[in-house]
Amino acid sequence: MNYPWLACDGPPNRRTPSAASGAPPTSTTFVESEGQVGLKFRKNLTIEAVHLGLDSSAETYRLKHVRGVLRTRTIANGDRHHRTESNRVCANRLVAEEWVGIVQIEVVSLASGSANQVRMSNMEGNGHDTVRASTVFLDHVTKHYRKGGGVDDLTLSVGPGEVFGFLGPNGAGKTTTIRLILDLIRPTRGTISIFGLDSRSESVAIRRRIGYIPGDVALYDRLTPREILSHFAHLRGGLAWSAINAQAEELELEMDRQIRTLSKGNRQKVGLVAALMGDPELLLLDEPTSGLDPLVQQQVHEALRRAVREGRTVFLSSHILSEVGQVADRVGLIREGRLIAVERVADLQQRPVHLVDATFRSVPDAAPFEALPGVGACKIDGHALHFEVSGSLNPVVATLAAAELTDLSIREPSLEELFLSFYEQPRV
Amino acid sequence: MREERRAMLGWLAGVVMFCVIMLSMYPTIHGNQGFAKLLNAYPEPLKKLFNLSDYTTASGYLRTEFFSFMAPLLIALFAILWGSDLIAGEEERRTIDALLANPISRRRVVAEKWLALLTGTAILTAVLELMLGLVGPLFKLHIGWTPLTAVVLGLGLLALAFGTLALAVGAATGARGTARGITTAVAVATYLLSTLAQIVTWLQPVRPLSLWYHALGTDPISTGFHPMHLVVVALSIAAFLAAALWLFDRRDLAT
Repeated sequence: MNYPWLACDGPPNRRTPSAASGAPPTSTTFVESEGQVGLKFRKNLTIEAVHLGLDSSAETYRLKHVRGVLRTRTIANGDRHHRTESNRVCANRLVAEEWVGIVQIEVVSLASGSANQVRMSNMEGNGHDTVRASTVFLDHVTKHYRKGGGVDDLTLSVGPGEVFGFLGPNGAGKTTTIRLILDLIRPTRGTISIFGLDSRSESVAIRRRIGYIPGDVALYDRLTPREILSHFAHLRGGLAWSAINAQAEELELEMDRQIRTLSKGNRQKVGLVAALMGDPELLLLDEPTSGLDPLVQQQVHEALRRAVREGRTVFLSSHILSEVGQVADRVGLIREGRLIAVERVADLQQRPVHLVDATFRSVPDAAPFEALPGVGACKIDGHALHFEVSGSLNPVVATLAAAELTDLSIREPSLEELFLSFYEQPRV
Repeated sequence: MREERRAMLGWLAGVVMFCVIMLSMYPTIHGNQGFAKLLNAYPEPLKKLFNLSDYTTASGYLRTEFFSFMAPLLIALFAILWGSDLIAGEEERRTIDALLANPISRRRVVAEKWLALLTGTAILTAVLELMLGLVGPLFKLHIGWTPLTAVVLGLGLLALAFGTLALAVGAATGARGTARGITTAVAVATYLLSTLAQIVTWLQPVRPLSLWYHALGTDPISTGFHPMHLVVVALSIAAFLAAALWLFDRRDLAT
């Protein structure tokens, strides 16, 4: 893995003065956490504790200088220069002016006391192996369109090798987010860094390492897949044709028919081969299986699973929970441009929730149901009783059977209801 | 680029046919005293307006029938249609997303599109020149290569200028129709300006605003090359291209 901040910017360093100069400054982000708190390094090596979750009370986190020699300015304490001492808890934002050797910083959560460590080192050091760059990092990104829509204050981090599912109804801002990452559109506010590179000034370098599959891929109608793929391979710096050809053969793609004569599934295969060429580190998939027949869906999923096995980072947008649930490590829910929740898939799946709507002949009594295991959120509405069940349905069905019912429905909650019910429950 | 092959062949065929038709009419006019008399009877302003002069000589015929209106219209129309399609067309067909998912800068895309436009226009004008120079003599139309090259160069640069303007408007808006509309309006307005300025005295000071004047208004087929005027056209092309590069780079692409 490469660490641009080591090569490009950083404070004047007495021991390696030449290596730090020359290259352009860059905005770089590193995250050493599992999604709740992150560390951020900026142009003049600002070290900042950043919230990646929904809770934006930044004050609950502090940076702690564990060891090493580091001269900093502490922004939150007013622009004072000072040499930080080891084991000293500072503000949540520091500007490193100078450091020598390996410096270790911790992010301390004042609420839980947990810490995420990050180490930085100068060019001669070798201790940077504990620093991980977040592959995708959106920092308070807002994008407004004149006609409405877009995304609002989106903060999101995806680590290397992680499979992130981005869920939401159509028009929620999923495609906007992906097009922002690709620099096809630019944020109204906020910054995006991919592989620690700035999404705007270093977009070409970023796109060299990205494969992109739009849901409804639009390709040159009058060209054949062979012509398009060889053109794209050329644009990617002359990639070997054999690998591309093998991929195409595996998908049983007809290479010599004009795109306009191909079915949607076959066009999508061309997009898939194009996205996978050159072994991208990050795959962006925007509703990759929408409108495809099941056979092609299967092939797309297989390619996706292989990409995951090969350790690529995947950013998968979809409105189908089961699609992302199969492969994703974490899922973010977006609605009307806002990120509502980010959860581990494993945590979500531990909560099989059913919604029960029962209508009785007379006004029901909620008490017998509330006493059952796993029943919650009881609500009486005239003759109707609504409640949620997590876990087994058997006791509920048995109790219902004893009552005089006029109507009954037991259904799985929609994706959004699932997320919201998750959030209404007290955290364990 | 390859997508345009068929359209390009169509345009080439069009230019060749246009040349053949125009050339085949020449012998019936050449040496026809009645035609010359008829023309002379036209009032002077009308002659100026339509460049009706020396209709019966080779250069006069070409100037009047060819280079004053029809040929520029044909080549410029080609350049405008294509130029407007280069970026805006890709956006409207949404192929730009797949293209720009590759590691290439937007500037490179514009630059390469423009090179394609340059090549296409060059091929078209070269064919026009060859048709007139080589096939013309078969119809007793003899014209030297130097005046022919002078006028064809002016014509090509003019068309390229309008094509580049269409490219720039398309790159700035992402809308093909807007690019075509604006560029065509500019082309027609400046054509009228350049032509009317010959008979309307108060328009004369503003005539240099028209690229038509710099490219063809100097009567290159009779008077040869006018480097300074061609430089004006070339600088306009450079300005339009710079605008296209700059505007496309800083814009949100259409969804």
